[in-house]
Amino acid sequence: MKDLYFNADKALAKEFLSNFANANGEAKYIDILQEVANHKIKAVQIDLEDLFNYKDLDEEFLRRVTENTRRYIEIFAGAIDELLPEPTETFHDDDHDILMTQRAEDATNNFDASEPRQNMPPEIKRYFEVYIRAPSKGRPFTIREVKASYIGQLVRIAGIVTRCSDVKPLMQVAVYTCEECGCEIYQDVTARVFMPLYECPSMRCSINKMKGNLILQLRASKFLKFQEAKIQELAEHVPKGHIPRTMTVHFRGEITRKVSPGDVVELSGIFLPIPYTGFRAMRAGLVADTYLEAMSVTHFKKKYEEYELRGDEEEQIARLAEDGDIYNKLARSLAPEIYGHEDVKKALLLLLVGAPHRKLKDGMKIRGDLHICLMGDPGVAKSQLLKHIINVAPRGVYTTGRGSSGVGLTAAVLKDPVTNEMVLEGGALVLADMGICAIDEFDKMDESDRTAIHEVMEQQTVSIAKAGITTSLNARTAILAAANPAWGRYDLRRTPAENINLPPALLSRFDLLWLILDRADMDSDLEMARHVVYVHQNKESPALGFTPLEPSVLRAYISAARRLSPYVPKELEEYIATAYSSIRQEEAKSNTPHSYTTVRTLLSILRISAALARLRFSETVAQSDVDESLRLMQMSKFSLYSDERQKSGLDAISDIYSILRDEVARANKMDVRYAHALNWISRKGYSEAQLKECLEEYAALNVWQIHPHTFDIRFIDA
Amino acid sequence: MGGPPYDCMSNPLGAVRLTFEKAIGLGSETLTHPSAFDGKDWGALELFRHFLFQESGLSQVPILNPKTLRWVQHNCLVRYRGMIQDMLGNEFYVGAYREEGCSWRTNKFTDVSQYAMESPSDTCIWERRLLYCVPVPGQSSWTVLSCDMDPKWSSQSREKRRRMNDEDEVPMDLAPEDEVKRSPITKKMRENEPPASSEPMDLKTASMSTIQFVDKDNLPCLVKIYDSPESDLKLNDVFEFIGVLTFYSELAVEKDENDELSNILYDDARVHLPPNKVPRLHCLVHRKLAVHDFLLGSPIMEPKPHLVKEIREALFRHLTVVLGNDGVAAHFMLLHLLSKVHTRVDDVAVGKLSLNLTGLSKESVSVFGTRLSQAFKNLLPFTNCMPLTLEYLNTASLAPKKDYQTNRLIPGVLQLPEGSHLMVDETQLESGSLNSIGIDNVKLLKNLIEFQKVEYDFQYYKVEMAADVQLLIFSEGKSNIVPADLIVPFQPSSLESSEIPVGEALEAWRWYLATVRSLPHSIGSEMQKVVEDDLVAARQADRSLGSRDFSRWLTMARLISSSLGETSLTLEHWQMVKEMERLRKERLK
Repeated sequence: MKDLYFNADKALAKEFLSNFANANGEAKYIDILQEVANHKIKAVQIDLEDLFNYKDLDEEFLRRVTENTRRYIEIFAGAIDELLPEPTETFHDDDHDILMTQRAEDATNNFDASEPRQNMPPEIKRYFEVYIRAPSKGRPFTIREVKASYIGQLVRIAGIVTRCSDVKPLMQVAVYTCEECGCEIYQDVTARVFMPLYECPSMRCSINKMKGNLILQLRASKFLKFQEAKIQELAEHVPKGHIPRTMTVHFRGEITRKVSPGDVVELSGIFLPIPYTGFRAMRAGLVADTYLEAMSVTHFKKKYEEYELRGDEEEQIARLAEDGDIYNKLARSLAPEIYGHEDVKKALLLLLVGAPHRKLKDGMKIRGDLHICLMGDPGVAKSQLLKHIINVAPRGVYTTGRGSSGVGLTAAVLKDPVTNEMVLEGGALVLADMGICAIDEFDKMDESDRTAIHEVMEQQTVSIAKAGITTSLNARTAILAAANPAWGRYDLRRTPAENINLPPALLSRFDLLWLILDRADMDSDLEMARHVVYVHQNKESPALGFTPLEPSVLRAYISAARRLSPYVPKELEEYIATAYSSIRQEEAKSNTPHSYTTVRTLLSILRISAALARLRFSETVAQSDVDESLRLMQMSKFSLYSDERQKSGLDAISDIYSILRDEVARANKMDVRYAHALNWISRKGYSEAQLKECLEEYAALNVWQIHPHTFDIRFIDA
Repeated sequence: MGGPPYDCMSNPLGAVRLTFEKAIGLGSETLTHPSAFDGKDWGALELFRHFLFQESGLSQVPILNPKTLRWVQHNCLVRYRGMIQDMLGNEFYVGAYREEGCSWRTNKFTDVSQYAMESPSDTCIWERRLLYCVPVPGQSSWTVLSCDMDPKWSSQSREKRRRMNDEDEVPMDLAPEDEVKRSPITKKMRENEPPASSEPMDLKTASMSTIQFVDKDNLPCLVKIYDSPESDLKLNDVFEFIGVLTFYSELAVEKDENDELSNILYDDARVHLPPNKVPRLHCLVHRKLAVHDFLLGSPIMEPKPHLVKEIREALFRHLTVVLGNDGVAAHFMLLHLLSKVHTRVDDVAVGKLSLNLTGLSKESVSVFGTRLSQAFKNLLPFTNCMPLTLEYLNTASLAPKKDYQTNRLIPGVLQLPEGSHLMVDETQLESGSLNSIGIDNVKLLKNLIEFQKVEYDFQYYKVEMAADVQLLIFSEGKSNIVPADLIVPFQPSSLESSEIPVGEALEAWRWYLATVRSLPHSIGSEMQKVVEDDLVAARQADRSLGSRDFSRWLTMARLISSSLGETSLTLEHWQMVKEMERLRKERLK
């Protein structure tokens, strides 16, 4: 009865294998079988997704395959046995084939069907292996979610590999020969332990009452590669206050040697109990150990470039991209619990997005990664910002300048204690290749690392010439550094250069440099007092006034943005050149130049603009991007030299007025569009609120008229 | 006797079986297939809850510890108090089975089938969770329930049980064909009195193997959890488990035979936690223990303000004497002892108040440190001490670490349950260099005191676990390794030793500390305004004040009003905070 049922399913399997056509109309499995017949490959992977997409899908059949996978592997293998085409290419006969031909000849001579042990099991003839792979749609299980009801079923699990055994041979079919009658006896081995046969069960021996001695033939027996591993739940799947669970995984045949400890993998496999044998079965018959018979291994991808969007994420991103305010929204969602610092967060967002790398024709590379340095008093949440960014980034390494391991930040040549060989071990910067490296306490870096970091920040490689090893490792990473001022706290009586305890050569490599100071003003103090009291009163932090986006959404949006590679259109070249030269001139005029505006600054402007264009999902850099990047640079400078501005005597309002007047005079017009005005003043580092204040104040003085709806400005001719 | 036909105490499995049979409808027309339960409870727990809590059977259930282990019986109801130290994942077992021609039987709450399972024709596989529990680290002696029960009672019950063995249990429990169960060792277990000395000796030598198991009064236990959501039991929680004890000796023999055959990655709990050394408890009922549950015959009092104030006064006097007549330090100490993490907002653990007593030298620590630790041992349920020497920092494993060889979480010093007290003595620290372990340890301590979090090392990643530990630091100058919330220069004026407090006062103080720290607290809107203005004014005057200082003041305000038994902040309390801060500032100068 049951066999009938399985025979019907075998027919179904056969039909599927021979008729399935993939999206291109090719008979996928027939092609694979041909390869197998030609001894090119050994593994036949049956994708359940294909079965799902199969035109004559029998849902019941699919369900049966998922719930009783182990049996169906056998059925599919049987179907393949029957379907296997003749080889189309000649191949070299190996031992196995020679043995097989011999056996085939033998079988015709002394066929003895009455004894099942003498029938050659189909496994020994096969030189292919069948794997059934779970559909990759949907979220994989965590180890915790695999319950008793999943026993025998095909499941997909995500986890980290913690231990791996060596690959060892595992007997699949034991072959014996009888000393007396010379028969070949086969024994299927299903468990890890088996009881060898000692007495020949063949007809001839039993008739003659010979009790023929059996000798195990290792050469004729069939072995499989076998590896055992342990996987553990990923940190993010462990509920609070619990210990990560582990699970044993068995790899057989072609999928051995696919994992090593530390790999984050997604496995599909069959969840099976281990049958106990011998004494254990008797004693501990009540409990069953379980394991996962692996069917396929996929390594998790941790790079932006390989980030795969999940179904609803694409939609969500499209919706966000249409939102005009996405730049602010994303920036605010970074470390939402840290109050304020909008511009810093914007800069950090751009660091996550980055600009495309450029490779010039002559082989020179221009980095696209933005480097940012946060400087400031202790306790202004620098480290928290850093850690948050690392959490958002798919690949991020957090380290401190005084890296605790001997490898340090860059790389080190170490002597392997076992083999005495010199081995190269990458430090944090190398590990963060194609990602972000956050370095806390940047100022306390080792001298050796400090020299190496120059190279990392511009050439994005780490060169090593030590102990006979000369090499250069890739370190294409965006660096986010946090540093304390030279004397622990920022000393306002000293110049910024004295406070910043880093050499200018290093500083110039940062695209943006922020000084986060704890400033004394009533409003922020009250804000802080309110926050603390609120927290103590209500046991929660005050509402943010907006719902921050989830880190996963951020990650998806950023990875989508990173696929673009925006370019600067011709019309903008002039604009950028003018902006750059005006910064240079301003610096030349000033008697105490604070910054060294160099070509690097120009590259920074381009990088930031490109990152902004990416955020808009635009292939071209727009003028607004350049304006925003100039504004950010200005703001970052102001954070360092803000007291300077107050010294100049002009208050914000009159400064804004003079900016607007100058621009109008230059253009020789009387009208100013509000948007333009906002652009100009924001480049100088003023806010929209200040502009509005200025507009109102001077309108009251009848200097200009303000359009009541559009806020456009019309100067009244004096 | 109108009670259940089975004695829940000595034959809990019988009771389980009875309810099971009832649930599947044995004897009635319609049989329920046990797979319908899916391992969930079918009414057995109700029976036990009723027995334990309504019929006050709880106090009769023996507490499992090395002493009682000698005489409690296999398959009996016991209770065990301990901290969840590790979670060993889940275990699948044949929960119910049927043999040809027989009715369904269950294996829930037991390790070994009560009947031989020859060839079951139908089985249900269910799962249970394994928790590895240990006695709470640093548990004070007063919290340990005296295990020596009334000798009359125990001998009586032993008598009774022996009788039960003969009449009742044997036919039910010992299926005659079950040969293995009749091995001499089980027999020995069944005899109530194994040679008195042999068992603890055995336990001692056991500590040689794999993990240091047991010393004399340290009995770990493997608890198997059946019916409770996973979120109920968290790591480091202190629980009381009531369930069926199984304790085998013969299962351990397996270890030798499966060495060769079984896989290389074999890390079954059975090997590393041999069943003859670590008892198994099949949990029927569990409850989380608060400090209150440790108070013996606790006087259930309403926290009435006048009563609370009286006790507070007495306790304050006691602390003052212990602290060599330093009233200011005693004030802060009292608040410190009442602190607890109420909530976590972002990265801030609200309600913690760690204390750093400075101005102590090696010599004075030996006087006051011992005195204080004695006082704490009398007052608090869990106290721990950490001598911070260079060698200690460089060698100790403070954080728990996962060992993948044995698949166990190796406990660290900082794996402490909620509400533990930890004294760190920094006076013995000398200058020298830290190695990488030392640096990690310092980082851990810093994280613990700043965020009340400990990172557990799982090698491939770290998992942050929330902690709630009161930290008290002794140091000469301000401690930079363990930066506490409060730094109080300690100025004792007398060395006169304190009188040993009597039992009744101690009881009251323990009750006070346990009750008052969990009082609710609120800040009225008027007070809120006052506080906010004060904070802003303070910051305008002193720029170095930050949100951490503000947070500390509010914590102190809360603790002061709670310590007086009040639930809302008053101006008077707020003034007290400011006054205390002023006194402290003066000393710091």
